[in-house]
Order: sequence, then C-alpha cells, then structure tokens
Amino acid sequence: MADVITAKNIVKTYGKGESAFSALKGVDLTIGEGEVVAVIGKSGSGKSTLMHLLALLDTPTSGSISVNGANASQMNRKKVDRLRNDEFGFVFQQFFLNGDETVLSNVVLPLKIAGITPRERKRRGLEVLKAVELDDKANSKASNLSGGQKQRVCIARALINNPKVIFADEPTGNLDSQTGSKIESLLFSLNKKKGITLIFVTHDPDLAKRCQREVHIKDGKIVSVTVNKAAGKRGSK
Amino acid sequence: MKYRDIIRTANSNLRKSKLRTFLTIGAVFMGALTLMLTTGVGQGLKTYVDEQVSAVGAKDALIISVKTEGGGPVSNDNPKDYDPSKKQASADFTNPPMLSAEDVAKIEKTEGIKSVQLFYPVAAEYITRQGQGKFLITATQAVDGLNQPLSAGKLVDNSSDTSQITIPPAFVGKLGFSNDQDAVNKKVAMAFKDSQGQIFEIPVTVVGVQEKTLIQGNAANVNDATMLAAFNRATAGVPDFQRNQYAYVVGKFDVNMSETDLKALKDRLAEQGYSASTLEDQLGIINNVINVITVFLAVFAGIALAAASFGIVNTLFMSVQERTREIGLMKALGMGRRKIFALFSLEAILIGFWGALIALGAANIIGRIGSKVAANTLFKDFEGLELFSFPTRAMIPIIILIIVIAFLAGALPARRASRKDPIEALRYE
Repeated sequence: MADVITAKNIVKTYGKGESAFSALKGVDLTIGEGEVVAVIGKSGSGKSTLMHLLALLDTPTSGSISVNGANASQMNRKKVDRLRNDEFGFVFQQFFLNGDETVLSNVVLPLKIAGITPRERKRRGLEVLKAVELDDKANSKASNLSGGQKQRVCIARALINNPKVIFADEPTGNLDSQTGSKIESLLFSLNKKKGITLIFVTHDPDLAKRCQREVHIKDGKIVSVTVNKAAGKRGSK
Repeated sequence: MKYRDIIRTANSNLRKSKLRTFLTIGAVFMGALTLMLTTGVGQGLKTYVDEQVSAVGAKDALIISVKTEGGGPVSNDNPKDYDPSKKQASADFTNPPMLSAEDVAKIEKTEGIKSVQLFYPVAAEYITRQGQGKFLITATQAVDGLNQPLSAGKLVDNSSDTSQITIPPAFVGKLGFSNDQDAVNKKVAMAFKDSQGQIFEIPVTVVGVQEKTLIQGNAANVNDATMLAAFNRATAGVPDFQRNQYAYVVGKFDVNMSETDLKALKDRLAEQGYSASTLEDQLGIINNVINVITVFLAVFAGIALAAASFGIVNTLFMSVQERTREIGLMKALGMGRRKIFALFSLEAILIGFWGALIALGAANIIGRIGSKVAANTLFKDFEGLELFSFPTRAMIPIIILIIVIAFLAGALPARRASRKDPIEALRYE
C-alpha cells in the first residue's frame, strides 16, 4: 500500500515569545492509499490544525509533509493550489454552499477553478449528483435543501475532481444522528467503491470506530493509535 | 479558473446585490457624466471657434505687418534715440505704421513666401442698390482660401477682374432682395471717399450670401478687384510714396510646411522688421481660454469621480467582508491569489465600465437637448454653435480613464480578498 500523505515531526506554533502557543508539538503520521483514518480528540486538542496541515491549507512551523512522495514545503504556492485542486476533496461541518446559486453550480466549483469547460463541468456535475442521489435537485437553489441534502451536495463537490483523498471535518456535526449515519455510509461507500482515502476529523467515538485506524490527539500530540480490525479493508462494516 | 469564468462570476456577483451595485454604478455614472459634459462643452466651443475663424482666414496665410519698436512714444521706457531706418509705433493706435511698396517687395523675396496679397487701406462708406436706401457696411478684403459658410451663391473670386461681394444675411432684405438666392448675381454699389473727401460709388456684383458667423458678424467680404478699384480712385493724384502703404499684407506659404520651417520663416521676416502670425497663432489664444475653462470644469468632474471611487472601495470592501467564507472555500479548493484578485478587481472594472457607458448615452442625450435649447435661447446669436460635441476620440479616453480609476479603487479590497487565509476565512462565522 503506497503512502499518500506522510507527516514527519510536524510542529505548529501560533504567536511569538511568551504568548506563543503550540497547537501541534511534533506529530508523525503516515496515511496509506485507500485507508480510512479518524483523527479524534477534544476541541482544542489540535486535531483541526493537523487536518489543515495534512490538507496543505496551512504550513507547519517545522517538520515536513509529503504528498505522493513529494515534499510540499518545497513547492510554490501555485503548485500547492493545483495539488489541492487535483488530489483533495473537502467536506466541512458548515457546508459552505452558496445559497443563491443552484446545486449544480455549487458542485462544479472545483472544476470551474480548474478551468474545465462549462459543458464538461455540467456533465461531470450531473454524474456526481447522481452518485449522491441528488440529480433531480441539480437546478434547485442550494438554500432550499435540507441539512442532509446539503451535506450530500458537499460530498458531490468533494468528489467531482476524482480526488485521491477526501478530508471530512466533523461531516456529521450539524446533522441529526439518522441523517448523520447516512452521510457516513455514503462516505464509506466511496472508499469502498472508488478507493478514495478518507481522513475524518471528529470527536465522535462511534464514527471513529467505523474507521480502520483511530488517531487519538491530546494537547498537540498523538497519544494512541487504535487499529479496528473489524472495520476491515476499504471500509467494509 | 478561466478568464471567461472569472468575468461570468464577477457579473453574477454584481447581480446578486443589485441595489448596492446599482447605487455604486450611479455614483460612477454621475462622475463620468460630469466629465463627459464638461469635455463636450470644451469640444463644442473649440469646433465652433475653428469654424468661425476659418471663415475669416486661410490655413496657409501669414498676416504680415510692421514690427514696431517699443510701445510707442507714450511708453514708460527710457527715451530712445531716433533711428530713421526703423518704423516707429504711432501714438495713435488706430494708425499703425504702414508697409511701403519696398517692404512688400522685400517680403515677396523672403524665402518660403509663395505669394503676397495686398490689403488696400480703404474703407467702404456705405452700400446701396438702385431704388434702395444707403446702409453702413464693413467690407473686408477676402484672404485667398478662406472658408466662409454661405447660404446662397459662391465665394468671391480674387483672380477675377470684376468687383464681387458676398453680403451678410441682414442686408438681403435691406437691399430689396426677396430671398438669399434672389440676391445672387445682382448689382449693388459701394461708396468710398477719395483723397479730397468726395464720395464715389463703384459697381459690385453680389456673388453670394454669407451665413451669420460670430467673428465676421455683419461684415461683407469683397474680392481684390473691388478694393483695388476703390483704392485707385481714392488715391488718385497722391504721390506714390504716400499712396502705396499697407497696414498688412498676407503672405502665402506651403500648407505642408513643418512647424520648425514655419518658425524659421517667421524669424526671417522678423529679422527684416516684420511681424507675422498665422491663423493658428491667433486661434491659439482663443483655444487657450477654452482649454482653461474646460480644465476648470474638469476639476469638478474629477472631484465627482473621486467621490465615486470611494463608493467603489466601500462596495467592494463590504462585498469582501460578506463573502469571506466564499473566498476561503475558493482558496481551499485551489484558487490562486491572482485569480481571486482578478475576480474582485474585475467587479470594480465592470462597475466603472457600466457607469461610463450609461453616462456616455446620457451625455449624448443631454448634449443633444442642451445644444438645441442653448441654440434657441442663451446662444441665439451664435449661429451654428453646437454647444456640446462628443467626438469618439475624446470619449474613448474618458471611458478608459474611468475604468482605470475603478480598477485602482477596487485594487485595495481585491488585494485584501486575495490575501485572506483560507483557514481563517472558513472559520469565520
């Protein structure tokens, strides 16, 4: 199993001098292709910071992060932008949908940024909306959808560029438990069908147990790693 | 993101907050309109003056007269030695020093002068026609190549041996003609005084009727033959040295002569004691006045535009604030700083573009109505004055200027948007 993301001794410090605060104090983590990993910890533990660094949304104060074997700290900003656009998908707790626009135009945003033609965007947009069973809502305004539907739109948006990795930051945090578990199942099925690597950031132990590996974070350090044999390869239950 | 998509996105963003966009465009519109109207008035006046002046002179003509020493005997300078070889400015300003036949010969020989037209110092007493009254008239000898607008007939011909005149419109009825066309090819008589103070009349043919112009006023144009005939009669018996005297002559030069060659020609004339000025030299003073007025008005337009640009800055800052999360998401999804900057500055440019375009339309309408109203009321006597003029070559730079101002106003908010940290932006509630 090839490694998709490798983090070596990463430290993230905010501020300087006496007011300096270390959110991460030396973390090593390797994520393999097709793996489902949960980063679990309480709020303020540094789990979100870790995800931001792994997703190249931020740069570590020290240490290195490699994506597909390439050291990200040696890439220029443009290359990092393109890497995120090509390889990563994001699902956030807040949906970050543009309520005034149609579901379809929300979904195709990554392709628009990538400079894909409108016709191709529409074709692939409808394809991913079908995958999340929302193709009938393609032309509805995003603000008219329910919470669960919105999160499915977000997953479709994360999926549209055929990413290697999907980062999901508390993807079910804003949803009731029934809808939440449907969203989880949808994400796990993507891992199973397409082999997409999933990285969850959560404080929900139930969700973490469904992942192959649980990485427990506390005060900026990995305190323990649990491997769930029952979760099995490619996220089978 | 492709530039086509950036334009589309910028457009749809503007459409999303319609009222705000509308008000900002309104502010730009007001500034642009002011600038266009002031420029339009400047252009209109300039065109008018150009037309007016070309009615009294030609482009390839140098008006040559004696260059006078000092300010004349009444000047405050120290007393100067008398020099019989130099012409003295007369204390009587109505009688400037005259050019003699010798002077004319010297001017003719000056390199660069193709020909010299003599202007005979005779003034008409009145004009009359058989069976009609006598009317005072100012008649000026036509410069070769002048472009007097006519309502009927043709211009006087200086190469003709017969006396010709074009009359101002006010004289048509006075001289008993039923209309402008009726006056053409009719005989009239012009009266002059001879050296003994005796009035004599010479027959003149009306070849055309002039349109009323500002500078020309009610002055008639006559050809060389008319003035020569009058001059010969008026100075009969006067000794030659007193007779052949001219206040000014007109020297013709090559129209294509370069600016520097023309300057050299003027210098050559100045060396010999003659002052020379072209039509443009004289036009220059009037145009300078118009330019000063236009600049003065444009300052107000500039203030209006400055106010409008603050409007753009404000609108875009609000927009950046409101769309913080959207910007964060776009950055997280891999949109580069430059594209974010392009997106926001394009919104500013579009605001400027629409404001300027609508202003251009409005300026044309206001100009058309304004010109008509002005021509019928305030500027009734200024025949042919188009108060507002909007030539494309003057309007395109204004539109570009406004777009540039809009871009500069949008640059600051756009820069702020482009530098937003995606994590901070996504965390923003």
